[in-house]
Amino acid sequence: MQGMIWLLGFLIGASPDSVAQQIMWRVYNRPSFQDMHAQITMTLIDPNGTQRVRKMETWSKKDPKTGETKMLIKFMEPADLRGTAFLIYQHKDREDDMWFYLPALRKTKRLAASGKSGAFMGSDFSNYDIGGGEYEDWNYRLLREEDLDGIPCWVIEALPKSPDVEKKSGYSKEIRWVNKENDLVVRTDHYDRSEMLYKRTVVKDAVQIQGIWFERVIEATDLDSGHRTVMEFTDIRVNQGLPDDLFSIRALGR
Amino acid sequence: MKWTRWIVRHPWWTLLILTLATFVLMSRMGNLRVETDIGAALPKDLPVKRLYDMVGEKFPSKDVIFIALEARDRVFTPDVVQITDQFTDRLARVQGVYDVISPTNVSVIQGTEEGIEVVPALQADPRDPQVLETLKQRLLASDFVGNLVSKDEKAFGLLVLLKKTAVNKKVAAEILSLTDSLRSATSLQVYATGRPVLEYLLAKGLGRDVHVFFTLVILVVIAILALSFRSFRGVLLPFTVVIVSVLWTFGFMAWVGIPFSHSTEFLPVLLISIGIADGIHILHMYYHLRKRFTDKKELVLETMRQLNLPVIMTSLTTAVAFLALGFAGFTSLKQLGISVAFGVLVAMVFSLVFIPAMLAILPLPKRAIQETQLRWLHKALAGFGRQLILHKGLVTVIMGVVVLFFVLGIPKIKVENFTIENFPKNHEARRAYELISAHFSGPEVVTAVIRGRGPGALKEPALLKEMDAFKSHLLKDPAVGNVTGLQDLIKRMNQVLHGGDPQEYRIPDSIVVVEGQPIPGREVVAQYLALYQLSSRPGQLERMVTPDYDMARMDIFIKDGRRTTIKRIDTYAKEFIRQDFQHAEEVDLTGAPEILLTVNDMVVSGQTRSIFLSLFLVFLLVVIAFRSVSAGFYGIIPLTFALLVNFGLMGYLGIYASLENMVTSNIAIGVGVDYMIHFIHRFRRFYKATQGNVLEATVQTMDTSGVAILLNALAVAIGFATIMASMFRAVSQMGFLISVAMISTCVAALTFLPVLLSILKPKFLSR
Repeated sequence: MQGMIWLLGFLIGASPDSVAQQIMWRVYNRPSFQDMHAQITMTLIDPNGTQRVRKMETWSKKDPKTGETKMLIKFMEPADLRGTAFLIYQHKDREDDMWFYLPALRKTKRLAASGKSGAFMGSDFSNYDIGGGEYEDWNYRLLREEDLDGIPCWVIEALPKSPDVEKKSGYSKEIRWVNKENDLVVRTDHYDRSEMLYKRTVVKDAVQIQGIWFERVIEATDLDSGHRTVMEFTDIRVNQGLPDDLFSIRALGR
Repeated sequence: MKWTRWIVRHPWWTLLILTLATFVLMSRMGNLRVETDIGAALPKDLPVKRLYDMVGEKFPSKDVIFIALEARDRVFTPDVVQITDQFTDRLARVQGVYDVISPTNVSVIQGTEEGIEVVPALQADPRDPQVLETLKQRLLASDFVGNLVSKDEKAFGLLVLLKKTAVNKKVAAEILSLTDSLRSATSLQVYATGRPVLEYLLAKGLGRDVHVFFTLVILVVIAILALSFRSFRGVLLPFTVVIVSVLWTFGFMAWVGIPFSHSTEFLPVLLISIGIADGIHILHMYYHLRKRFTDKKELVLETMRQLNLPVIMTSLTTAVAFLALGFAGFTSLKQLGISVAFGVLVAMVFSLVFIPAMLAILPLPKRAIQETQLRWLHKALAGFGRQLILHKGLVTVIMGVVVLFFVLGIPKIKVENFTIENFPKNHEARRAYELISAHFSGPEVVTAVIRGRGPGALKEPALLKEMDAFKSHLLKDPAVGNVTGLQDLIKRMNQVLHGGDPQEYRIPDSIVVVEGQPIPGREVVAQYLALYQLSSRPGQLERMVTPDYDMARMDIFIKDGRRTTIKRIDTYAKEFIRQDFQHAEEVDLTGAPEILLTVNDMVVSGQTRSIFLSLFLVFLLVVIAFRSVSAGFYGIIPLTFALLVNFGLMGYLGIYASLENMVTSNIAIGVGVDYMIHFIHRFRRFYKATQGNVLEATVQTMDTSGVAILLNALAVAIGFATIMASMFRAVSQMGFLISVAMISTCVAALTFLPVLLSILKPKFLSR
């Protein structure tokens, strides 16, 4: 169905905007892994250079039928969060389901929250940056083509389709640099709700795993404060047939 | 005198040189900075100010604007809720706004059957009765009442948190224009207050004031000059002197980097009122001597021969009295003092150079001053002088009683400051402040900064419990409306994770036993925080605690910003901090009210210091001028009398000792001493001429200098009275006090001084 729409767009003609829609459609619909495991190291860096490290382990799995993803995140560092875990069922047509486990209370509970624009664990990434975005949220416009650090890119402006998108993402505009060779967004400039540029995310390293490109190191910088966060994926293992049981609520506290 | 000769011989060269110098000095006037931050008035190393700046560095937001939306009836209607929600959204898009906390978007933490939810209070369309009811219950159930909803459910409160990088003035201006348009577009009453708003309105009002003062003082000066001399040159020359001295001073400020600020904006009025005196004296003498000369250059030379010295003398004493402001401890007052001193000296130079040059060019005036013009005044003063000396015993007693009366008023002076009271009664700023003070937690915010012992310290239950106890302690004061901070969040999280049990609305213990296992409370807290951070809107946690958890802030909302209220709460809070914060490294208070408190305390000591210093400097100059130590005392004793009158009046009339009023004493001393010098100078001449006849000397002095002093004082007093036109009470009072000071120094010169001189007959008179 979505292929049809894409084809239709292609046939109707190539106004710059529809070119942008096509590019971004490809970006959002890049082939992805069936399942994945990784260690994530998040380094939060103060403007004066002080670093704080958060480590977590994640597992995710895509339902081949619905395309919806289940994700498990377990904290390892800092020590007082060790064992704290979140389980997220992402849904395309409704709010995600979320559960958490707090080892200190030995409790698993459901979490209803709608704070997607919230900062992810005090980092410079928002929850929206990390996994809340949808192709359908934005209108796209091709601004220009240019080289970014020697990589030929499309530069695309994304404007929220509705006030709700602006509210949930916290962004009034994004400018995205898309690598022409592999459809990876290599840099995004985020504009806050007063339309001021305030954050930049840059892909520092990408790797090809089983033919699929993956952003391995991403850095987000708060341009107001100079605070940075570097998120690095290591120990990446993909398509190893993770059992559904791993993503059950009962398994959260294990 | 050599220079006067040169000037009179080469008037055109003189004018050329002055014009060139004026251009050079004004060339950098474009660099004149405008400084509106009141905090800039403070010395940079003031601990409370440093802490305030540090809060701005460590936390994303420092200042708050409060907005109240008042409905005719109830706020829980679909319309009002929807308007509030849209307005929240609009505010969030204002540049420089960090976050908006409103009744519709505030994060509500609740227990559910399966777990917990952290959601905005309004989750869907408020036209759905179910949604509206949920909102109402959420808001009324928790501690949002009195913070985001008024108790009578008639008003919603919104907190606009400003980014630390925000230009407060710009944000305040934009928010006020938004509240204005909301007010006209809906049936809601809309109010905005908070420090950034008050400072913006104050700056705006003062900006308008300055224009009014400037226009008024110019009109007054022109009127006085026109009435005194009834000639074109009589108006033009002294007027040019003061205008040029203002321009030069601005140029000077641009060169040395002194900004145009809340203090220096009074500079034009000060300079014009003070600087005009030299020109008046010179022209007065010029017309007075007119009859005796047929050569214009000779007339100018004789005029200047008589006046060069007194003009220099009086200008120096005035400049020195203003320089003493530099020791009051406030940067902006120091800058004002230096600038006025500079301006007074420029006025002096121009009076001594420009006026004679012009007079040397202009043809001789047709007429001299009509001796009969103010004959009645001369007679009256001479008669008054005679009576003074004849009844000097009685006069002394009366003066003693008067002094005593005013001295008794001095202890009644209140060192008080309440910004909002400076606005007129019906001003929107005042109504907003009063409404928000009455229905919400309060428009003033004092911030307590809690420094823990190292990173992670703020996760320790022991410290959180102390913060909770601190909050309870503070809430006992009726003026404290609310205290927000990390402790409330932890208590709430603990409650919802324990099935909503009200007993569990508390900080976890240091050791929590779970399923028989002892768990450090610190871990429980850490996990609550992680959970909250993942589920709330951005920046909620960062507002209360640093990312390292080594420092937290508690915001204390206070209903009135009166100095005495803040002082009471400050003392009360510090009592707890000293005795009960065992687990914190350090706890300090800061915020705009705390800074003002410090300012007020400094006002007292600074004022005393600068008064004594300027009295001393003026004393020295008088001693040098008359080459007599006792002359110095005769110079400053009448001034002291005038100062006592001033302070006594402040006590009786309930005028607060404030930053603005600090300038009054220095003006009184700097300008008042001129009268003493003129009087003593003339008195000595007549005293010697009459072989020590004090009665005759007094009458003669009154007849000549006495009239000049009285007219001069009236002119300056009227000049300063223009400041009374200000809409702000403190500024208007300052104008009043300065005007009174001019009159009281003049009265002191014309009564105190002759009686003292005639009773004591000091030796320097006959030297």
